[in-house]
Amino acid sequence: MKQLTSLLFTVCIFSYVQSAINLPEEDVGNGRYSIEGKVFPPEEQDLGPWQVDTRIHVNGGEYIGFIRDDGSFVIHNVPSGSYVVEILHPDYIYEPIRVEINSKGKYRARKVNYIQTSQVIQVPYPLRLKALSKFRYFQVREQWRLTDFLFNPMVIMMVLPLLFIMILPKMMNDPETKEDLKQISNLAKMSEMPEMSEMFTSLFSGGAAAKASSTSKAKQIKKRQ
Amino acid sequence: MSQVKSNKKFKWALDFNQKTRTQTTELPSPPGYSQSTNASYTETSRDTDSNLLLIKKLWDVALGPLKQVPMNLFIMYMAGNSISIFPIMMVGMLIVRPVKALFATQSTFKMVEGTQATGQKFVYFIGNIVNILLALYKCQSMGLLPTHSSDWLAFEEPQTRVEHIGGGLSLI
Amino acid sequence: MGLLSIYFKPNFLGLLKCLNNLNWFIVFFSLINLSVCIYEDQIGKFDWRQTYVGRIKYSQFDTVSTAKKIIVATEENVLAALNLKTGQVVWRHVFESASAGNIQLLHVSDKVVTVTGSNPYLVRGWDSSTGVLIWEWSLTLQNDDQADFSEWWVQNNMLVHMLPMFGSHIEVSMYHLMTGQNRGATAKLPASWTNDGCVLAPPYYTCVSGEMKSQQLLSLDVTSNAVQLISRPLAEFVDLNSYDGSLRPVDGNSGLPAFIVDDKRIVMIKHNEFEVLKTAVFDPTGSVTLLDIANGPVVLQAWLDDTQGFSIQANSVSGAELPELRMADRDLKLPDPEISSAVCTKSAREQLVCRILVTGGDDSVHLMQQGGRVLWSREEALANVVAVEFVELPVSDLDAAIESEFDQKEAAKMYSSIWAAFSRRLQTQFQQLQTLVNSVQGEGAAQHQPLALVRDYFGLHKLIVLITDVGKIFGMDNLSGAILWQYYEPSLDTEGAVVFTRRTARHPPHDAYITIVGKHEETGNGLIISLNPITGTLIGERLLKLDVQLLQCTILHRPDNEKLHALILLDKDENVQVFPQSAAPLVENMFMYVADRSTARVQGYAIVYNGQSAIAVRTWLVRLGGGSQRIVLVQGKSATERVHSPGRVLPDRAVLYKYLNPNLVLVLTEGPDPLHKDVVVATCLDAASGAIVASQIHRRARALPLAVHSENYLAYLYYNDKHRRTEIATMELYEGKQRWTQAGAAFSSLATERAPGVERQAFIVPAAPAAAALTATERSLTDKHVLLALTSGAIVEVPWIYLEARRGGISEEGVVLPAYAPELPLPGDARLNYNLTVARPERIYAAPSGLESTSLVLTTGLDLFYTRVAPSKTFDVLKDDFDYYLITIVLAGLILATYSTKYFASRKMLKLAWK
Repeated sequence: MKQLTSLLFTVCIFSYVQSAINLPEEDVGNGRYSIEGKVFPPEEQDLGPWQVDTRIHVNGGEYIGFIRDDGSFVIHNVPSGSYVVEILHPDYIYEPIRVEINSKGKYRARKVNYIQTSQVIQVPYPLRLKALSKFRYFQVREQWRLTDFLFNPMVIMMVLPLLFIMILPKMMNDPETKEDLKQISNLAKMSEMPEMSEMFTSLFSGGAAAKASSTSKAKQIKKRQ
Repeated sequence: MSQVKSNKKFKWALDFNQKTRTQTTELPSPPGYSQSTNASYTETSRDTDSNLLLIKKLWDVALGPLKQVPMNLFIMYMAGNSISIFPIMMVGMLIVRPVKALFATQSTFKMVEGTQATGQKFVYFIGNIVNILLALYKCQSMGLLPTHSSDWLAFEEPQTRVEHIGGGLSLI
Repeated sequence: MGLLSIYFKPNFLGLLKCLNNLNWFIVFFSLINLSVCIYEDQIGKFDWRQTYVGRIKYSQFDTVSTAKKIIVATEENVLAALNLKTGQVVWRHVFESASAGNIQLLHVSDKVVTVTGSNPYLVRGWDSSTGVLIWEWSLTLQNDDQADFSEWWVQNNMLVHMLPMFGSHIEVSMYHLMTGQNRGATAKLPASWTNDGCVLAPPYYTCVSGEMKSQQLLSLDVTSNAVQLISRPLAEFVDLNSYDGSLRPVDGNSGLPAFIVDDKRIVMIKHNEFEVLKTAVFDPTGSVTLLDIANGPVVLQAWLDDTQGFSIQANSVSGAELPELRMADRDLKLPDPEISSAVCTKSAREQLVCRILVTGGDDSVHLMQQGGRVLWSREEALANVVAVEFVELPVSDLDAAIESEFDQKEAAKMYSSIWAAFSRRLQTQFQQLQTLVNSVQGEGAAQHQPLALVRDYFGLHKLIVLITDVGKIFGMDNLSGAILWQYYEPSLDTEGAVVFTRRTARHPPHDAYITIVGKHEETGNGLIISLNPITGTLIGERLLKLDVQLLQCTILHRPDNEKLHALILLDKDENVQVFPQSAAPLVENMFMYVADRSTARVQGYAIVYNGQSAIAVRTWLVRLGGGSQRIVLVQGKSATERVHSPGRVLPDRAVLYKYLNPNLVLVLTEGPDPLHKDVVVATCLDAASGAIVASQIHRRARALPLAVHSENYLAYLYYNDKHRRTEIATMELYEGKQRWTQAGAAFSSLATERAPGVERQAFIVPAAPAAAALTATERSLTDKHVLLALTSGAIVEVPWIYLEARRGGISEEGVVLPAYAPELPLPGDARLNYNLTVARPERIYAAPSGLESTSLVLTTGLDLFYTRVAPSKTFDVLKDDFDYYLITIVLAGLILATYSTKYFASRKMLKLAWK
């Protein structure tokens, strides 16, 4: 169905071209065809009309086309061959398309790939071109933010230890914190050490080690009190 | 206490004469003391000992730089060949220390007398030179010494030309 | 509090780790960031663009739409609308530059209609207020040979096409304007009296035919259904004895059919009859047009009078003059004035208000009002710039006075004793102090003064001399783009014109001196113009017309004792002329080469002084391409460039010495090949010895006349037909790891016998370039970037490291070269002209400035665009957003903190000591 409509479309274009020329002679002899398509403007339009600023260059200016009000364009009198169609707008990027017209009048539009020139990624013809993005022409000025200063590694390496040196002794001098720290360290010791040492000692020596660990536990309990 | 009770008439008089004569012969010698070794110790050996010690100490000082060499080698190996703050500091230290030591040779060997002084000074000197050479080798492997022609490239005069040309496509 | 420490510990470690990673990112990105663009707030600070339309071919006042405009069609194939009040371009459409874009017809009614092309033709209709295309259709003529003689006009909403077949008939076709449908077949009107001297005054086609002394004036309305021929004997109108056969239509696009016979009498066709107007033509070289005003038709004439200057006069058909339209301006010397169009209306107070658009022979366009007031002018000659030279400005008088103090000769002359020199020094210091105080005081008021023509501190203010195709020379200020002086030489043919700077402004009291060598328009002999670029006045040889054709020209490298470089001219008979004559004995070690474009032969000469005069001796001849090729481009090195270092440092600290041959010339030739379709050959030729140093051949390629050549490397562009893409090939020449001559020894082309090693590489350019140049700086310390102007209107900057032959790996200490990629990256931020596109760029010129980091770039073409480029970023100036305030505040804060800490610490120590 789609192919049928596109075929009908190309037939209509042909007849349109022929009727426009309206001369009794044939013009297919020297192969004059036309490239056509439609250009879609970018979504946000700051100033119009964008149709005046947009030009279509075929093969780097060999043929120039202009856009009508609705965005469609036709480039007449193009002989058969391979052409790179570029849509040029000062602010928006459009991807260039390669249009090939063979001597029998068949059109093929594919993406431009200069490196692998025989690669064919086909694109619908008549061309429908949308703006990819806005051109990024400028660098952004570096702003000075407080976070840049605070997160500078040198600053952190020097300032934070300084703070620690000043704050920690004060923290240490507080008797409550001292006790808290002792608790924590005891907890840590109790949680880690007994498991490992108990395992090994039980493995190697048997009951005597268990007694020793229990006495050490008793000693620690005494300390707490 | 008992002697004071027997001499009641002389309450506060103490008589030592009789007892000291008898007791001197009965006092034992202190443990480990033997009377034979006393005679052999003469005064002259004290002088030579101090001399030898001094020389030995000075030799230690003289051999000091050479003993530093292995440690310097290790430091050089660990510092790495890149140009950043740590290696440069290390290299700086490696150079400055021997140089300072060389300049301070006079003061270190101040107290020397004797025949081996020049030998010691020479060894000290050689040790420091070896350290400096090690530091220079480190500089060379870091690429700091201008040994290649690429380092003198910037000082060359620009090339002058003998012939001058003009022309282009024919204007006709 | 205890919990805090638990909280901080793991987070602190994590933070450190994160920072460590970030650190790598920062370093990584700073290495990769090769962006070279400007910041958004720097737009317009040091760049400007001027848009031009070209020499006006057809123009018409658009009185229908609300905003008053003039619709213009130009010889440069541009359709534009100019604002009536200011002359600025409202909208512009640029057609193809080839003959397919030639504008054949411009018709303005409620819509703008153009016919462009040269068989096949394209008929387009545009909206006059916005410039948007409304309709477009194509028209192809069967008979291609005579198609150039077609005439077009619009009548009653029909497009009329007339094709005269001289001697037999006229073919007339009428098409519906908007759709192109033909009302019928082509009408063939028999007209055996037509010849190529006929003129069209729509819809009448008028000819003079017949035998000598009994000619007839015949005219035919080609659009009417009935064939009505108006025929009168020519003797009624002119004196046949002095008639020289000239018949021309009236200028402007007057709606009334009229023509001028013999440059003397004006004949109108009214009611199918010839009517001779009583008003005669005042000046045969002037311009005549007919205006239709309510009272009747008015004849408007414009000419350049010798005594009175530019004059305009209007007469009614009966001969009575309209005094309000008379003007005579002695100062406006408009050569060959032509009235492009004129419109007159009656104002509310019954006064005639006329606007006349006049084009001069120097391509300038002026809009005049009745009474002689010029509303605006445009210099459209700048749409066709042929050669450009950047000229240094002289130092200010004060600085010159200071510098002359140190000049030995002058000091010896003026000051006999130490005390005199001392007093002089005191004087200059006092003057400097005065200017400093004045500048500080008058800082607010100083903005009103225009920039004086003196060198500024960084050497960025220069004067650009532009030579245009029509023979007009402009002096332009590079900071503002304002035209400072202009000089028009009508007989100068600027094809292949060359500009030489014979003396810079650095040697007061001698003036700066530039010479332009061109051709004479009629004879083809050499034409030399010497002028002072700062003021635009002729000096020295002034305007010198030679009597021989010139082959080539160059300047002598040694200046004479007036610091002037002599001009050496080689003419067609291989004789040498030296200007000034006194400099002939200074000629030595001078070699010239002349390349013949069509046969690809390059002939070398040695210019020697044989005691009496300078002569040219043939030394070498090179036939490139075996005779079947033609030269596309000859590119030498810039004469003023310096090479910074004689070699490149490799990563293992060895030096790869460059082959620096200042006499090397790149010749690009192309020709057909039996096996491959087209072949492009790039040859490096030593122009002093004729030796071929390197060459490269590209098969199935077409040459583009774009190349850059500097130091020991060069790059040229060509179109690869096989893969249908544009490619750029680079060649770098090296001597090797050992030098060939001693360090500091002079390079002699005649003494070298070895060929250098060549490193080659080619890349794909994903765009269509139209011009190429290399940035240039005074000492060549900064990187060089290749500037490419694309046909899409963008000027792109490509760093040379992307074009290097030895890509990938580390080049000189630490600089990481990008890995080889076959396609050149052309990102958006490499565009110099952001969104100010330059239509149809033709050439780029780059000149050094006083700052080592900055190069000045001018692009010419249909538009002019000037900007400043800093290839290695501005390393020798503080960046313009340098935050002085932050640094001073931080510094002050730290000093304060230091002193206060010292104070508090000493107090604390004291307190502890007392415990």
